[in-house]
Amino acid sequence: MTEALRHARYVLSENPVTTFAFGLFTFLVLCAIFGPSIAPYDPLASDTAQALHPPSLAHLFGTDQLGRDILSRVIVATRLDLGIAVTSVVLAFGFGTLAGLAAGYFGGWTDRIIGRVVDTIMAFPLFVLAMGIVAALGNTVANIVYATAIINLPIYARLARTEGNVRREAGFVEAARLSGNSETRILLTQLLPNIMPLMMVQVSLTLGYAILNAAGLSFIGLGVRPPTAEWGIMVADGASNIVSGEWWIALFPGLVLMAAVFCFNLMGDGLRDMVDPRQRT
Amino acid sequence: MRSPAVTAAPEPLVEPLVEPLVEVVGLRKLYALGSQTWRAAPSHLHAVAGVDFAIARGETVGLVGESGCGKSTLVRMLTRLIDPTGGSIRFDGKEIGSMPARSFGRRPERAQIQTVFQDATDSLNPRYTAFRAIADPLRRLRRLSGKALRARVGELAQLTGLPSELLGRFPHQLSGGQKARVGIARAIAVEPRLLVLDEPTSALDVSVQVVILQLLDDLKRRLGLSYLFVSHDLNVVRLICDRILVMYLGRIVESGPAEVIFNAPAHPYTRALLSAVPTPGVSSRDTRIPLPGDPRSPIDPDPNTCPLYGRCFRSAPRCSTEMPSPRNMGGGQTVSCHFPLALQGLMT
Amino acid sequence: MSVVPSKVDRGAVPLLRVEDLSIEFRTRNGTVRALDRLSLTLRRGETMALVGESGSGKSVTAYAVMGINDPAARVTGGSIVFGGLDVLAAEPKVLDEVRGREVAIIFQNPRAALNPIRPVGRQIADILLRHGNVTAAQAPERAVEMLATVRIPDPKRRAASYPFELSGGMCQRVMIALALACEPALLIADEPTTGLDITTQAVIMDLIAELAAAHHMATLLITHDLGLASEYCDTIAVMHAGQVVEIAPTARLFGEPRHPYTAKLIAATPGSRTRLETLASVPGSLPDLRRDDLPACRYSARCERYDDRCAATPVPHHVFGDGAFVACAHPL
Repeated sequence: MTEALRHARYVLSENPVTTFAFGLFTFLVLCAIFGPSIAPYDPLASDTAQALHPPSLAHLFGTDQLGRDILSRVIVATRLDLGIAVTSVVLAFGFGTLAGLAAGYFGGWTDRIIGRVVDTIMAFPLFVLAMGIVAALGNTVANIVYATAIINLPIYARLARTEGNVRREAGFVEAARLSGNSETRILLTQLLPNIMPLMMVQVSLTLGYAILNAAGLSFIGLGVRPPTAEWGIMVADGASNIVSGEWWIALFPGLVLMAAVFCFNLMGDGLRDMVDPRQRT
Repeated sequence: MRSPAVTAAPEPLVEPLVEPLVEVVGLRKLYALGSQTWRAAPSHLHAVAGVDFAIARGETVGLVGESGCGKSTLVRMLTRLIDPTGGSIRFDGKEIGSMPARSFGRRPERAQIQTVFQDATDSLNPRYTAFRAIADPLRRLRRLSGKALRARVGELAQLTGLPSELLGRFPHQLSGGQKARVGIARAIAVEPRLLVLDEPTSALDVSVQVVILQLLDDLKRRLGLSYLFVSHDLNVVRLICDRILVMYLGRIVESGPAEVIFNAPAHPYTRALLSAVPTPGVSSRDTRIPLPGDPRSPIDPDPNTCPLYGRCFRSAPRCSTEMPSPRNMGGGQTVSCHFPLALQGLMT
Repeated sequence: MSVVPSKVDRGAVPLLRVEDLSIEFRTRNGTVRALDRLSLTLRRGETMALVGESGSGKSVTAYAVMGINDPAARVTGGSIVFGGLDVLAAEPKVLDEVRGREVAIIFQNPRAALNPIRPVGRQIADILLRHGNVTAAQAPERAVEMLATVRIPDPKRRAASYPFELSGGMCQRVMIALALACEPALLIADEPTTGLDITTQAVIMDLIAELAAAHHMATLLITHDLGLASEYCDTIAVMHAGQVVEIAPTARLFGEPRHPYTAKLIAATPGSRTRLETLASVPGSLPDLRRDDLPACRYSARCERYDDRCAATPVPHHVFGDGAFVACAHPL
């Protein structure tokens, strides 16, 4: 374990950009965990007297049409957005990787069936598919998570499938068979650790897509419902106000959204470097 | 009173009157090719076209042959990673050829036959430490864990000359020789009776090769193993093997004691192979026996034509009408040829 | 089309002279002193083997002679003069012309060195056109001729094949055809037969030897296989840890090795008469070439003849009449 941490420190020291990304990620996670406690105002409390105030010392991000403090809402929204993103990525990654790996490793009917399922998902424009799922099942947070997970699953399945196919006949796989490992065990204990580095990069990219997906769905009204604080909804709320000059309502949630996606993308390479033992020493 | 016949050859470390450890008869592997829906008779690739041999206890048998001869397929069948299409494999008196490969891993026989790989083929999981690689068969086949496991791995490291501080390293942090030792330790971990060595030293520097070969020889004596040594390096094979099997296009064309095969090869292919080996201090260019053209196709081969027909410098019409069957040349040498080069030294 | 005048004098004696060449590589873990004051000479038509274990610097030497070096490489001393041309000081444009035309290289993995998406005939034609030896109309025919020279059966049809359609041995023949297309003065073969079957190896090496003799081409064969070196080369240069420890004519090298490492290497190579008990390995291991405190003779730590005189810098060279030399304070 200490070797892993030592290596992690090495990677971070080599790469200031990755360090920055990790720092930002940590900050976002802290916001998500402690959001409600550190937000200066109650995100749902409306105070029409304070409506549409530009950023000031009292309200660093300004207030929206209902007089709610935007800073507080942005902070609290972190928990929701991150939560949706992480959960859906975990689901997509978990099911997608296993399905893809099995398809690539076993071939035959396993490959055909999984392949067709994945192809079907990919045949739809992904955002439209997400819209369809949520519209059909209703706008609950759970459905957003499922929809996002489903549309992100194919990429893991495809990646894992190629890797499984390539490593199927590797020497260490044969050696594992000679050691009495069953095929399933080989898949899980021998191959899976080997494809993790590649998957890790994909995880962080998917986190970015997932957040955008959730925000996007909310933006068009198919996502989280008001008055819940969520970055996408807030951008949607503020969009019409830009014309009338109240730029801060949409801008700040938009900036934070951008920062989050940016941060996840940067983390990808850093994560891969940390996880791949070939990069060690 | 007649005196008993005296054997002139030195006694090998082998007990010929005891049942052999491995006995293979008529082993075949055919792969069906192409679509089988509307064709009357699908074609087959004859990877192994009927092979007979035995490995005695304590013996090292060398298997030589070039790419496409079927060595790897033969070895995979012997180690029960794939199922034969026909023939039998008897191990220690028991028929294991009919045991399906898929479930062989759960049988007690699995631990009896192990393989040492060529280290260049990623035979070590890049994400496993040396310890974990060696421990894997012990966990799976001997159900060892905790202290007992660590003790056994330590013991194996010592046996194979692997310094224990290297056990925590990953393959990319180990040298070629060290990786070879890990592979050997893993293979002997569960105390097998038969060790298949698949080009174990071909990726190693010549100096490291010496050390590893001497280690293998030492282990064989100490642990009472039998070896099947597969290699393309004939000089190495000559060093370590008691008997040699020469394979060509899915068949064993010649077999016999190492010294006989090297000094008086009877099959034209063996002769050609030996003439191609570069040896320090000796020029073989003048005595080179060419094998013009390409090997015959292994797909639906004519059962009445010798596999070497067309490339062989001794070809005659009979070679394309009658498949040569193995004939005993005496002294343990068997050759499948209508016109074997008998009783002639290599220099003639 | 006029032939571009050559920048290299093929009649120069010697054809290739490497003197005191030292090369370093900057890596993440330090500076690797890959070559240390390496010297060797090659005459026109001579075949020399550069023999050594992995990490001895054989390939680095070959690439340096070709003028193709890793961007992380730095020449810290010495010179390479090929046919009167100073390779280290030459402009990239000049080197581009020389490469392929005056000096060619055959790589270890033929399939990897060929362009996978271009038919082999076209690749040969490309080289011919590149170096201005033929017109665009003549190139395809010359390419087929080259394929015939390397004994590829049915060359006209094969010229349209892609590398993946050819066996390893055939790909290597294509590589030889590519290398010899412009009849270079020097051919460098870097482990050309690794991965090939023995019989294929013999055929390929015989082919190289035959063509080299026909074109009076100098050959530098890089190999770890002493048997191969002894079979095909007039002279053998033994390398250890970036240093040349001995150069001698083949017959003498095996009969009377003068450097302790050479003797050990020979003793470790299985031949037709050796027995397992008589094989001896070289003790110790390669020194870490990243160290600052490497001794003058990098074999010191492994040598049983070591004493204080071995610390002298530079390592004494004993030169012999037949062009041989040994770098050792205590030659055998």
